[in-house]
Amino acid sequence: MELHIPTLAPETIFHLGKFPVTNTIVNVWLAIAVFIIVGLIIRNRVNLKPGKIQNFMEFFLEKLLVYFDQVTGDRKKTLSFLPLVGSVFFFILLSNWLGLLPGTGSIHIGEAPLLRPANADLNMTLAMAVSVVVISHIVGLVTVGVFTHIGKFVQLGGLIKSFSKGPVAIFTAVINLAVGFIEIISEFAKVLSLSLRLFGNIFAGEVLITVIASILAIVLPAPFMLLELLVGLVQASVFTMLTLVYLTVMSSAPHGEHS
Amino acid sequence: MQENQPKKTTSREYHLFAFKMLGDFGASIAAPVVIFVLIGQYLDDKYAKSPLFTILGFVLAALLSAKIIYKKAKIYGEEYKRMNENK
Repeated sequence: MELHIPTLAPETIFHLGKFPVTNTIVNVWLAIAVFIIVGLIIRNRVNLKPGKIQNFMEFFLEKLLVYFDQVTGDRKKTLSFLPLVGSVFFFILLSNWLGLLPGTGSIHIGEAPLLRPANADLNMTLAMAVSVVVISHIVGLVTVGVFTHIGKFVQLGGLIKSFSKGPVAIFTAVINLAVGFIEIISEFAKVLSLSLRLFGNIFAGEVLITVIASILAIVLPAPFMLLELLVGLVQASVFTMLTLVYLTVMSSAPHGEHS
Repeated sequence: MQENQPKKTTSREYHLFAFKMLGDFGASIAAPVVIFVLIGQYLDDKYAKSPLFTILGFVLAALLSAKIIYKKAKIYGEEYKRMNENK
């Protein structure tokens, strides 16, 4: 029995100059092409009296805004984060669902499959995770100010002030300084958990469908593909919501700063 | 008197609870699969038994994930009950 279980690393299909083009990049390009085409169509047809496509997209957007509001607690914040988190959500969702198209994993160029879900590539999910965490810090720097934001992680100001307040205050400030360093480590943990969660789930789905399809190619994979539709949606929303939580936390002043 | 009463659970807290649960379950599925498939593919390469060890690793990871999720679901179930009591 010949069975092509997807490898953990994506396969290189061809080279553009020295740049290796992997099968996950092909999937990303497909997703980008769909976005550009749909975006251009909608932009040309935007009207106060919405047509079918505009109505459909506005329906999705309104549903999304309600969920985002639950996290940010403020429509203004939601709208300012929407371009980033909305793009992340739709991109992850579309690239996950594109991975269920017939041909994914089954059309081969040489030894390597032509298509592989974009998020079944740790490079992809890691790049997105690093991007959103870095952007959340930039948002923090801009909204709460450079010193306040850095002060969340390196609480030197509190330590200096504590010298005039006595030994207990100094002890508390030293502990706060240590907690700040733990916060820095947790930023790396955020990147790791965001990227591994999405990658692991989509990769597991791809392996599962490959194995099931090799047992019986007809009918049997259908329920698993339905499950993958759900996993694609759930993982897209988890990644998006966590991004939104990071953005919201970074853009709010630390405790004790309000007064 | 108001201060002694338990805080009421809001719809926002239910949503955040749901996403916390989804994220946690997602990680519980992802981590074992990545680790076990990595080991499986290494063993397949070493002993030229592809895809035996990868599939074996995948099945083991699925069982492990199921066990972890079952344990976590119980804990989340209790937390959900507490949230409902404060509704």
